[in-house]
Amino acid sequence: MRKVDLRQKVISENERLAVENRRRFAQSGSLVLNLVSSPGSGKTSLVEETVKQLKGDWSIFVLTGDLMTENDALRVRRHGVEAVQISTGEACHLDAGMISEKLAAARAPRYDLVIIENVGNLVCPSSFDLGEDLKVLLISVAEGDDKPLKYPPMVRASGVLAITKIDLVPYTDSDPNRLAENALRINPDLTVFRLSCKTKEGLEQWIGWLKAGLAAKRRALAKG
Amino acid sequence: MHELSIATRIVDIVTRVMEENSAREVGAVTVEIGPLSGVDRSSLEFCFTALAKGTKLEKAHLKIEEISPRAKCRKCGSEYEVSLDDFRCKACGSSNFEVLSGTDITVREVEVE
Repeated sequence: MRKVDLRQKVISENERLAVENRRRFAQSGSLVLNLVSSPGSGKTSLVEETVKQLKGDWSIFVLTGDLMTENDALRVRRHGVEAVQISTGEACHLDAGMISEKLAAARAPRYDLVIIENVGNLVCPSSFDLGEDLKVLLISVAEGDDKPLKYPPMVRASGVLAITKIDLVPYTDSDPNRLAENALRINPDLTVFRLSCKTKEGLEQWIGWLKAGLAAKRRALAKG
Repeated sequence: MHELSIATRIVDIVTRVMEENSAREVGAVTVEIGPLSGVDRSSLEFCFTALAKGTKLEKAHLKIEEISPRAKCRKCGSEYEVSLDDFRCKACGSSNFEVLSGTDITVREVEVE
């Protein structure tokens, strides 16, 4: 038998589409977030709080991924923001192709902020670049402070750690500092937020960070 | 959990290699997996075997090599194998490092006849 030397990356088709998405987002000057977490960490609640606070100033597009139902997109649309549901059927993650397909059907010509809410899953979405600026990893306080140690690929792939449901700390054994330390051992570059959509704790910092992020991206794009 | 789609992609790659080389049969397909790729070895093997059955890839077998995740410290310059629960530099403890390998899945080599 002959050996054919290849060295071909397997997820290259997704990479190609992700690069294409990233180029489109750069053209339109959009800040793009990919929200990842286990099911029930509060991704949709954070999306709702975010659009409530920013929809007056920014044009926003939300893509929500789930196996079934339109529920999450409906929750976001209630706030008068364009939201599209991606029903993956049985697929455990979103891929770059699903994003480009929905972008093609988007209503506005450009957006300031695009939020992609991934399927609740801490494993697979880490391997699929969607063309986002960064992944925001949500871990709620009731999930266990060692959660980051159990899913290092996702922690490595993310740029932000949002510790959510911080108002529940008194009812759990969680120490958010320990949770953050565990994540920072794996990825020291993480920006960490402590948030509660219930009490609104930390949301001001989160919104401030988004505004600074969009401004920084626009500056970088202007420089070329 | 997405091993089926990864395996489908590998089958596509191998099929293309067979066509390009006018091959009738395929032997070992060497695939490198990094521990940060999020892919489980045994379910990838299972999916690949299931997909190959009854096709011209039937005799192919996956040879999976696990790549050790390596990083380079930006502070002291040392290269080291990272522990998955603590990526910091083994030599100086610095948090300023760059991951060099371990995030990809690569089809390295295909045996054809």
